[in-house]
Amino acid sequence: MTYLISRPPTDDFTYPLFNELVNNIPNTHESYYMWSCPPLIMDRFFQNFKCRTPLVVIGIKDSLDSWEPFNWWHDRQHTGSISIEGFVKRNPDTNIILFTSVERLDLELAEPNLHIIPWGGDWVNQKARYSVLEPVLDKNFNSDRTFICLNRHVRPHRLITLSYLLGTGYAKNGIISYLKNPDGNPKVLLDEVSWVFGPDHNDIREKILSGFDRLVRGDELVDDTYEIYKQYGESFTNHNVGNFENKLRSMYRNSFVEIVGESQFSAPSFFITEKTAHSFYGCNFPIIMNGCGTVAHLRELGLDMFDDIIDHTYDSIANPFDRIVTAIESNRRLITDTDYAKQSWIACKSRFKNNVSVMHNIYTWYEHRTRKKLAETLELIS
Amino acid sequence: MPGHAGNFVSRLFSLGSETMPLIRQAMMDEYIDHGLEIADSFDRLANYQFSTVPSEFENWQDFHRAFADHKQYSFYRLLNVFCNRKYSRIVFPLHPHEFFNDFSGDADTEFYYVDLDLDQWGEWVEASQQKLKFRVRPLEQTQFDQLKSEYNIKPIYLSHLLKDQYSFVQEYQRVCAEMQIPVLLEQALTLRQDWYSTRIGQL
Repeated sequence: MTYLISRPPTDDFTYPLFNELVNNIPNTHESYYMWSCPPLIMDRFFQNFKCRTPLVVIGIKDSLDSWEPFNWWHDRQHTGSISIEGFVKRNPDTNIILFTSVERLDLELAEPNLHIIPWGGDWVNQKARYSVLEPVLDKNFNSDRTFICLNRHVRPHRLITLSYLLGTGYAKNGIISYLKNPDGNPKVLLDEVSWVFGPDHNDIREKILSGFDRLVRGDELVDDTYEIYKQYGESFTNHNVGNFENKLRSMYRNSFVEIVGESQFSAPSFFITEKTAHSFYGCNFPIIMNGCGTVAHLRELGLDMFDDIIDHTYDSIANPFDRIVTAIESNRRLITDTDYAKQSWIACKSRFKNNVSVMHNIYTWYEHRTRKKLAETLELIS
Repeated sequence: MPGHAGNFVSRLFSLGSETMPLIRQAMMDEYIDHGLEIADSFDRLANYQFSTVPSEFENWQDFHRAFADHKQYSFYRLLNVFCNRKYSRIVFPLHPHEFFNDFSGDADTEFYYVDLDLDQWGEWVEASQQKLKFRVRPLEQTQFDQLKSEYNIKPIYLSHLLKDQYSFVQEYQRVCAEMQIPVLLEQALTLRQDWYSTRIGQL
């Protein structure tokens, strides 16, 4: 029987799946399920838990960043991965099956007694409501904006992306939102971003720094209200479908391309959230600012990534600066030429509709993969 | 609802050894940080005392804030892991607002609500809300009604717990049977007397 430590209120897919899978594991085991928010729970669990059975099954919902930024130049693992690694090493005689919302976690964790099973990022939350969410196909062709770039909590890659869009002047073609944080937003870029500019980055460095000055002024941005859920009378935290309907749908109506500022960017693993899902339900051409390999993963799911329209070569570029600049510059026409973006959208309308059908079925895809990997793991350890 | 003695009621039904004791935040932090187990000898009655509050705390709000509350629900559950899962239940108070905003329990969570005759106790509830600095949020009554209609939520009749010793014992035993927890009558009466004399008046 699974012992639930914590769980997000929107978790209507992963927890039931975990429960069902774990209840059918024939080996003697104990199992625990927890939400990595707040990270202290996960951290203390891995720090203090002592394994008592030869097999321990753990499900971790959400990211493993422990709210700590990942520095591509210095870090090898997320903070949460470090915590897990210590736990696994302290229990070398126990087989540990770790279900995770993070993809490619094996790039951060490779211990012989650890068996990683990814079950889909947080974009599988609110399954019941996303499964019936109507796509945004009624675009406003009178809109003078081409793209949107939605940003909430301050994260290094978002600051760099926004600064670059502002510094290059591309921002005038888009709608860019940025959190109106009641505690204030960064005033000095290097206080927030400890990235290392290389010798080849002089030109983009200047653009980013001048763009950041404009970001601080804030007059080219749409404020992202802090209390998005309460403001719209929604009844619980992270009600993302409610946010989409109440606030984002109109932004999607007036745009054709999205630079998706996902929650993470630089680590070897990646984590897909509702931000990516919204781009598909909002029917915008997606340029995904997430970890390397995300676009390849989305293709694997069956999503049309519009490879004839969007240049996704950035998906395999490791250096965070180069990935951001390539993602924007190699798609400059799509971002800045409104007529081109609109014509491309019209030509692809049926493909956008088809992607929504794929979105309605990602749960089946993830469930199938999770079951398969669990079966393989149990065979391996038996 | 705020001011309906949820803190007393949850302590009343957390007296038995099968139930996670409600503990102070400082203890929670220490035990979680070090993965400690709560000793079986932990004195719940002493920990739950209301009569020492005026001498120990500046106000009632400070007293309640000193305890790990519903926001620490996940920490209670984690603490139970460090206690070898020896506690089969955790009883804690939750206002409707927090239920809808923060709470996500296990499928086997049972819900109870405190029922009170406000014609008789309305003024006391208002005074308690002020004393404890509880706010009734604009949608809270609606949320409470929604909770009652959507969940299999069972009443605990505070009016009976307040009325007299006979009524208290009857209601206490009824709820214990409902929760399938042992009756600890002597401790329950001691806790009631301590709470009643502190928060309402002499018995």
